[in-house]
Amino acid sequence: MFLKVLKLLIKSRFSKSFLFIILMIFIYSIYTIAIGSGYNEFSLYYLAFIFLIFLVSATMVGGLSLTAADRDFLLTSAVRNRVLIPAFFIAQALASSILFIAAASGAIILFRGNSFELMVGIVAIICMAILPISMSLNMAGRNNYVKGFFSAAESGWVILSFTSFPYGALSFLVDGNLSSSTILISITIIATAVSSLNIRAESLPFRISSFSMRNRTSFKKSFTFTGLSRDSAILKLNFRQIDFTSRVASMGNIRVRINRVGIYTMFLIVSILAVAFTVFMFLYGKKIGPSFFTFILSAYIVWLLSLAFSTGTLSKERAWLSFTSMPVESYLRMVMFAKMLQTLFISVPFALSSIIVGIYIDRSFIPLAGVILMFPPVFTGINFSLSFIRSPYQILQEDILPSVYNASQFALFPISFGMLLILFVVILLPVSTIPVFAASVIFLLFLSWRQDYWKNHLYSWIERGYQ
Amino acid sequence: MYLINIFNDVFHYLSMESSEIDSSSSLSLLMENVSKSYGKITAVRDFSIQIRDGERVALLGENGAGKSTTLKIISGLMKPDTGKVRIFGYPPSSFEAKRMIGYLPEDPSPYLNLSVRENLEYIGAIRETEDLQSRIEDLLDMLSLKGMERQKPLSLSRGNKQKLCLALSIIHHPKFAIMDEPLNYLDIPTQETIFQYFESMKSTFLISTHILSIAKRLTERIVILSSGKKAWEGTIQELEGMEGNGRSIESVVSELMKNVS
Repeated sequence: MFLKVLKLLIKSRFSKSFLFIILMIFIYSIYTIAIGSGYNEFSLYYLAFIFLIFLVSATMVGGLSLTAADRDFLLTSAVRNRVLIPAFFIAQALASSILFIAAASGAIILFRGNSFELMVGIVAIICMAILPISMSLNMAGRNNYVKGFFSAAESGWVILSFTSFPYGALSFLVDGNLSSSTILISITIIATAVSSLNIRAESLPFRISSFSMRNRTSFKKSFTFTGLSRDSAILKLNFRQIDFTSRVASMGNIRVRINRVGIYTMFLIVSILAVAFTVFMFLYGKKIGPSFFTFILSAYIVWLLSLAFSTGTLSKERAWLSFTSMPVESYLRMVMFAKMLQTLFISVPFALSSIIVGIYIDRSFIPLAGVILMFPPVFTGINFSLSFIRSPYQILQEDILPSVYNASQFALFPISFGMLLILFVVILLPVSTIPVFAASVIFLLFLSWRQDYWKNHLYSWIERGYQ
Repeated sequence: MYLINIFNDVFHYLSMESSEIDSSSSLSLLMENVSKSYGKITAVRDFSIQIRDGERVALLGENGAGKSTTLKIISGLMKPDTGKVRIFGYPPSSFEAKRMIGYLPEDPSPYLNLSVRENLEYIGAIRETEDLQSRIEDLLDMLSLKGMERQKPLSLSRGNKQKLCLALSIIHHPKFAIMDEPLNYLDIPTQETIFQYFESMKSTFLISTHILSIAKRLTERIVILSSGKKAWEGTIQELEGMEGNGRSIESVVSELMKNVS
């Protein structure tokens, strides 16, 4: 029975798209490491960054991947919990670990010179793959304050690796003292044991019902639209609210949750991050070297902002409400424009931070402000246009979306590759910013202003399963 | 060794889940004083019901009356805040209870990544259905899904998806069928087929519906829920007896639903 259930879970989740995603992440990892290999300790920073993202996202939005079909038919079948729970755990561990290891593979390759280092590196990466899964299982169902506290603690633990503190998450990779890797291994084992006990303590169906309840969280701040024109109403709603999906962030756990956040709350969060970055650069900027941070900051801010601000946008869209009320293209272009303005607004704190760091630490940061202000809005537009082409996961089901590992959220990988290359050109030769920006704008116009572009893709959505 | 001990403890604990057995019960369903709230909203309030083996009961109620919540509690997907629920004497989330129930939720979802046949084969296998292949053939024939076996649910119409989910919920010949709006989206010939099939089954039925004709045709007893409370309980004949003086049966039901304080 255990194998039957495991087979069902794996078969119902590991699609061809998922294998494609793994391949893309693997290529991305190798590509990033290859580009960054000229920089001091790049692979280490890259590994730390990936680990941090996985750990924090797992803590905040992770958990077991449960589909509506699991709820409706598997959990109402006579399967004992001692079969069901390990099967869910293993399926989740497989999905998440494969994604993490694919993302970290570039760094593994850099360890290949020394067989002992390679072994330690592989053990470390396996621990780093399992730890986020365990943390997500421990944190599922806890309130946001507990999750926030653990995320902060985890972030601190990873960042401490780069200071003189000997027990940071990756200290053994930074200072070469391999005995400190026992800390990571011990914490992984403890977290896994605790997560096993946690799953035992609550039965799965009841956990699902609590997930469903949390999906209904209402947005505290409401807007008024009376007196506004049609376009102004669309602009106001889509500028003032941000719909994040956990799909992108949840490392293989694609139980989608949509969180609605106000623009000013997000502005405050980004401002705090920008201040933290500025302080960090004042403390360590000269020691670490600005080139690496110029690269990593610009690349990931542009990528993450554009991805985050466009993926959730259409998650709650109801075609029969909005698209039948006005021409499709007018509606979607206005939404896209609002999202671009939103990204521009959110980019301001990091742009200011770059100028301050540029004035006081290193002049090469000043052009970065221009890159941060110019590129995220345009890439948000491109991402929005491309996500509209992809699989219509956004409108299949509202409460629990299908947990099939779909390629749609990785649609921008090819673009990201190009973007990283472009940003290197920008860093090396600031004067090229304008032509690259102009080319991006032309690409965006080409994508979104073609006749019947939106209409045709809407029809395609409907044909592929709009309900 | 420590880890092995932990896992042994875990498995031992999990195997004890069905210890609260009330094996003296001959009822298909026993619910006593069950309540369930979502935050400040009370979905089910002090609800009690008993259903005998083989009996067919309809659950009627306005939108948001608590019908679906009640069915989720019975099928073990939701834990009541207070009260007792037993399926053939077993707690709803127990292995023994689940062997006997077939649950069809409202707007169900099959596995979208598996084909129609794969869905039936997997769920049939997990529910340890006897003679699975011939059972699948019978269901495909009965529900006119032949020819769509290789298709994935995303390419099916809403009606065909409902047929597939209906088949999944009864594939293992459940002793107790819990159906939430089972005829949603189905065309009239399929509805008729389902009516006939349900009539031929010897199972206990609890059907939640908005449609009186379904209740009339498929069930013997009606329970009307309003604002999470039981508003009325009786036979369809008793309900029909309240008609007259210009009042249709729908008007009677509507008044019964509104008369709950």
